[in-house]
Amino acid sequence: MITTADPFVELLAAAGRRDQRAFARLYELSSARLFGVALKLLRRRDWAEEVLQEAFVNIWQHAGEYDTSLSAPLTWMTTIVRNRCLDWLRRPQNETSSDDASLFESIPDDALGPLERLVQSSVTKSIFSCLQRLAARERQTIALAFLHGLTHSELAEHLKEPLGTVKTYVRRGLAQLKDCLQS
Amino acid sequence: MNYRNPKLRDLLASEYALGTLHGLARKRFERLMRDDADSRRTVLEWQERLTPMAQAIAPVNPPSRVWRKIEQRIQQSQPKTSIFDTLNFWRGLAMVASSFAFGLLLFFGIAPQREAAPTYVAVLADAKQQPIMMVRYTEGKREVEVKMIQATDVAADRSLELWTLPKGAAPQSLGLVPASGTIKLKLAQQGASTMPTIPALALSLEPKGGSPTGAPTGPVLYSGPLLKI
Repeated sequence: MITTADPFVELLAAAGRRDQRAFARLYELSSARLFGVALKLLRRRDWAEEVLQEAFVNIWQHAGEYDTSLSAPLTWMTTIVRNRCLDWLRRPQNETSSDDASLFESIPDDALGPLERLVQSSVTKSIFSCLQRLAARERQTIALAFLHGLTHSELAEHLKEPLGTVKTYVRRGLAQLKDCLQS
Repeated sequence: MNYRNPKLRDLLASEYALGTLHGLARKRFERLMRDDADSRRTVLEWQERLTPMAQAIAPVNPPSRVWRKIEQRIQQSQPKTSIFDTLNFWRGLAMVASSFAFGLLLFFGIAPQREAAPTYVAVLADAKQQPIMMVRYTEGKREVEVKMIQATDVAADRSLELWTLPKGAAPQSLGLVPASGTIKLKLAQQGASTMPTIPALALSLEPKGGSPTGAPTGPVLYSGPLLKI
């Protein structure tokens, strides 16, 4: 599905064999993308740097266990970064207080703005064309949750909707995405 | 909650992959995933569906200090990768070392005796190929003799552990050896019968009392081929 998969597969396999040069190349090719993901989720450079470092040490340690048949390399690495970010965000001492207005100022109202540019790209076409078919609220909740790491209650606050309604948006959106991607 | 319900599982997996499953529910679901292949598979499917969304995010080059720190950390973690990764390196060295091993045998006065049972000797050398210790095994015996030619400095909280390096299999412990002097290590029946097939021996630095895992965990200090004489 991801056309850039091949070099990553090889580099990950080599890193699994403790090839440090291959790992350095892997970092070179993927770190900017993964740093972008971490920055978007954490909204703080120092945290994003910390998480990126942790994630790559993790990738190095587990490269030997990575299984191409289970997930695409970039998906695997992005998931490691995202999970670290989510853990980080949900540490009690890092919890951004929900009345912190600046948190939401940094989130554009149309969180899908940059997505639209990508609809043309064949690589990612399916997910983005499916997202476009969702109703605006469903699309927004999914994008905000995935890209910005908002929880249900943060989503409710940001969208000024009741918690239950937001949960319904998320569920319905995910179910419709799945159907769309399968068709 | 009944996690066996496929609909519920799909829902939890989807919100886990999206990130909206959090707190206790996230922890509980992670525990479930550890034992349940279906949940793991469902999560992987959701991650494949959703993760391409990350491509909408503009890449940002991280500062170079991030890589410097990563590099430092992976180099520190190298010894933890255990003997398996260094095995070929050490076997290579063991082959080189074999040429002087025979010379040493004479030096130590262990000339082969015609009538006696076949004897196997290994001279273990350090990275600079300095011979540090000698190990002798006589076929039919249930022990190996270890002689430290040179004393090794060992921290109080560390032990030296001797290993056989069987071909195509994991190293097997022969036991702990002292930093100096000689010792006889008892062999189990099976250990004794496979001794003649062992190509090389190695000594690793382990936590006090020996490797906690049954496999070498510390750096290999000395190694050498086991030769029939």
